[in-house]
Amino acid sequence: MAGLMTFLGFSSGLDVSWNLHDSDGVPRGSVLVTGDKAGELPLYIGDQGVSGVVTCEVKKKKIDHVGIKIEFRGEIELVYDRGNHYDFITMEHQLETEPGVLEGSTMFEFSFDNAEKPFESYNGMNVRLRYFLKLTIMRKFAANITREHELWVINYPSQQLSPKNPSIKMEVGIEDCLHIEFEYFRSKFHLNDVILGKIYFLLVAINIKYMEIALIKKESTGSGHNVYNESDTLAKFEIMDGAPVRGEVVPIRIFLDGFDLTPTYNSIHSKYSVKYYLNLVLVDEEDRRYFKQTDIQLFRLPPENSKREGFAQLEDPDKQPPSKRRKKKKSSKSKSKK
Amino acid sequence: MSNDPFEIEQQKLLNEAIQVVNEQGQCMKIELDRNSLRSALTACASMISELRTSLLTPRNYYALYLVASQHLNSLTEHIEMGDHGLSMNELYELVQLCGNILPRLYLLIAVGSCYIKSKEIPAKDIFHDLVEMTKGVQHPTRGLFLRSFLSDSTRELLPDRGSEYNRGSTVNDSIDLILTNFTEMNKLWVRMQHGKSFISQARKEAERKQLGSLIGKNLQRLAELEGLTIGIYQSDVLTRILKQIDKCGDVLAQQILMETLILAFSDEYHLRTLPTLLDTVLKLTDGVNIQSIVGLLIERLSAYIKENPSKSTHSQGVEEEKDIFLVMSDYVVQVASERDYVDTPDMLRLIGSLLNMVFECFPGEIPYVDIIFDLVYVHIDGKTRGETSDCDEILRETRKLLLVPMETFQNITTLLDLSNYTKVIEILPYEERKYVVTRLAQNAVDNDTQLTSVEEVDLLLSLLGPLVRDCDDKTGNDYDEDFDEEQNLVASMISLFYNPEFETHINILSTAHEHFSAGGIKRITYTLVPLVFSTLQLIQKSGTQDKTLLRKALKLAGTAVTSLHSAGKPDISFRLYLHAALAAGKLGLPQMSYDFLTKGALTIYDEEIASPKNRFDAMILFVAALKELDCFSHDSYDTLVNQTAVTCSRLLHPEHQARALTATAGLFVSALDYGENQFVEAKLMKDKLSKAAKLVNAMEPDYQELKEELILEMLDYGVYLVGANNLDPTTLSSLITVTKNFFEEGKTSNTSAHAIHLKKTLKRINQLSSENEAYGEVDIYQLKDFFS
Repeated sequence: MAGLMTFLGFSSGLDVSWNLHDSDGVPRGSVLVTGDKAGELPLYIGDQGVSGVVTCEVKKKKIDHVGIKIEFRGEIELVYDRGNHYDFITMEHQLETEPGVLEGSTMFEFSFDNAEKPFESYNGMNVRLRYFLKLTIMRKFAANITREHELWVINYPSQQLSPKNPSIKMEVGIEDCLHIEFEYFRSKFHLNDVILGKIYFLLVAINIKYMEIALIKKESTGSGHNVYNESDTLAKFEIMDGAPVRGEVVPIRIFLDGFDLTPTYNSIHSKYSVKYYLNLVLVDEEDRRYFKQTDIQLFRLPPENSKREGFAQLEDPDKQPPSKRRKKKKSSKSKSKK
Repeated sequence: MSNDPFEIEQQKLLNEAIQVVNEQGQCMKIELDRNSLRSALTACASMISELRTSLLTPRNYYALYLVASQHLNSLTEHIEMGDHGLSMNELYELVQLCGNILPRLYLLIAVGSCYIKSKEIPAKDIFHDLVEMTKGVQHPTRGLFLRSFLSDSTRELLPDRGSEYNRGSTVNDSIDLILTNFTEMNKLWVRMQHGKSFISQARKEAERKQLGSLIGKNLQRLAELEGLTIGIYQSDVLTRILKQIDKCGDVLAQQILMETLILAFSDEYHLRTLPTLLDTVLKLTDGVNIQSIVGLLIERLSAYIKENPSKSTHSQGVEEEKDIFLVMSDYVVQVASERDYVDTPDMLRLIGSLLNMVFECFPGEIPYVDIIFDLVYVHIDGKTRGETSDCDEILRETRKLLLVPMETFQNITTLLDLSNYTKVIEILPYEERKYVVTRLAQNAVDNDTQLTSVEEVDLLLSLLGPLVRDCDDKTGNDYDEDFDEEQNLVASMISLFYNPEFETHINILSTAHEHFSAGGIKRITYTLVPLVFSTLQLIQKSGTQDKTLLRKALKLAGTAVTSLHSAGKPDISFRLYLHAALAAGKLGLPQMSYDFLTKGALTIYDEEIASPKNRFDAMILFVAALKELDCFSHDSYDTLVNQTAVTCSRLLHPEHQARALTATAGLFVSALDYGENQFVEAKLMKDKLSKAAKLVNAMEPDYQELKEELILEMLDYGVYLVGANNLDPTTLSSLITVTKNFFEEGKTSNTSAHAIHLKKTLKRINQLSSENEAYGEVDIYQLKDFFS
């Protein structure tokens, strides 16, 4: 590839290598990122300073320049708006202010001590939020030479999350056909959490084939008239096989470890949001689907706080099924024929 | 291999599934060998995914399950070795990432069991989790097998007395696990009968029945727990089991589980919890064959009591044992009254178990047997004559019940004491009654059971109705091919009637006679003859001097013969009269003897013996009998002899006449003892012989051979009479003359058989003359020429 580039004249005969380290000089850890820009990227947490050494090696001849700068940038790219980048952060350092010549190998140290990183990196379906370092060698009679270096940023919530983590409890059904009550014991989960819950069958007059919970990610981009919604079913998790009878209680336990998740994002830079839903789906023998979607919140916890003790036990197994005081609530359940 | 297209299809599906399971299982093993646990788990999950099928019948599903669970074993073995680099907890979570529930849970159980085995966690935590998580599989067949896998996987890991998995757990946790699993499995099992299906309902139930052992296995597991004391069992476990059995309301499940429960737990436990158990049984759904359940329970308890007599004889001892019987028999009554639907044959089978219990455990308690037959009576009364559709079955069961005590006691007198036993026999329909009483009679004969009282015999013979007499309810023809056998059987019973007291014995026979004489012409031929002989034999053996009794006995014999006679059996009656007469004569009862001869034998002779041959035979017998008798007064004897002579001379054939008269001549012998009339008698004797000779003489010449034969007989008899009865030698001489004439007339060769006979006779006379001078006076030389 490099040869081809050279041949076509795009190559400037310049190799740039990055060596990032913490403020105390320790090399950065890295993270494996999937998606559009898959690969191993240096990982930054929160507002950690970004510093390091960039080495320029000129292969063939010397390069004349009128100055060299390095930028730290955060920008949002939207699919429907290709080409337009919304920079939400730009920081710049001049490495060479005077015109000069680059020859052989030259090292530049740089440091963005207060690199502000308000959002997490994100590789979505229609949107990408990226942080990168950009090296620019400015030239007088030729195009500037630029080199970018991607970073991956995650944030742990700065303020203490509200300790309230209410359960989600809902009774749904279709009159004289199906009544169930389901309960997720919590509504907020960290990314390595376990979703626990139970489903109580109060009335079953249809032949259920199976029940599953789909974990759905919804990404909405844009605003106003130009809102693009994209949803992706991350996983389908079968939680029941066969037809239960009235009175049965089926447990839910889903480990989130296995899925590629991000925290819930609310209106990032007014450009996009990412939300997660649990969709409880019942499928009957005629392949009709009955479902109820519930949104949940995901958040990121530092690894030391998300460790589980022992295995995730179901809570209070003897918990009584929902009381008899049931109002005939009109179903909120959608029914769709496949 | 079946040709049923459905079966073929099933077989095909099964084979395919097994092939996939084996392939994936093989993949898993390869991965395990490479110590790549995650890949192995993936392969394992796709292997178990084959178990997600809904197409196989439970039986074929079971076959598939077995193959898959074997592969799972190699997975657990590998995990237990522990060099896979994951902690048990990590592994336990890892397998839960599997998106499909069935493979996920199989893996969870497999890993969970390894987790317990590692002892890193109290068994109860895992138990609790597994039992709870498996609720996710609600499909009956799949759920059932999944839980069965759970049950099998934890089998060795149960905290129990002496178990190595007791840390943080107790036997109660094992009990909880098993009971919850039992309950859930049962629910699924019961549900299996509903829902759509591609096989017929009957077949579905049959397949479902086969799965019963999977659920029952839980009860066996419970019973195997050493820590399950009678206390825990009584206060907790049993209640929970019974609650589930009661609650599920399913006929098949209740039936199988109750039976399994009874078989699984120790009989001692049952004994201790009997009331609870019995109560529950009574409440089972209609349609459950509770009779068989109770029957089983009774059998088990009997066996237990029998094996552990010591346990039940100390402390409360025998009393307690008896209580068990009474408890159970009361309960059986309760079952009958409280259950809406009581199937009589089943009820009878149940009573049968009760009966066995008595014989096993309380062999001495004859009254219990009677209680049981009272139950039988109550249940079959009004149902034995085709009133209900199951009549045949009822009769079959009743028959079994009746035969048991017969075989057991080997003594029918015991049975005769049981009023309810005989009551039951009496309400049986004719054919059945006949069968049972035949067996009864046979039993008595086979065991040589002596019947020693009038009451017994009376009762027995009343009971033997269909054999002894024509019954009102008789069906079909009694006189079939078996008749002969039956009557011989009855006849042989007469030898069983016995009492050392002569009078009682006579009374017994008299009672028997009453019964027999009502039996109709065909029967009495069989029965009365032996009765008469039995009576006469008794008389002869008795040695009693009590004339009144003897008379009574003889009268009985006489009456019996008269009955036979009036039944149209002249020949046999005639002979029996002669026997009776002989007996009477020997006992010094001349009058009776005389009456037997004249009023009995001779009357029959005169009136009913018709054929010349029979008449001749009869007379010969009569003469022989008369000859034996020496009890008569001279006059009586004279009359008898004369009458005999007259009768003989009236025989139709000269040949018969001649022979009979020859025989009669001997009768005058005894008359010689009578002194003064000696001469007369001797003369009569001579007369008879002469007359006989004349008769022979007068016969057609055609009968030369016969005539020679007769005259030779006469001559021989004459030889005898000379020696024995002082026959005048001249009479013999004249007989020889007659003979000589005969031979000459007939031109008989002196080398013919008769001539040789004659020659021998003469030689004999010659020999005898050296001992008795009377023979010397016989003129034997007149035949010299004939033989020269």
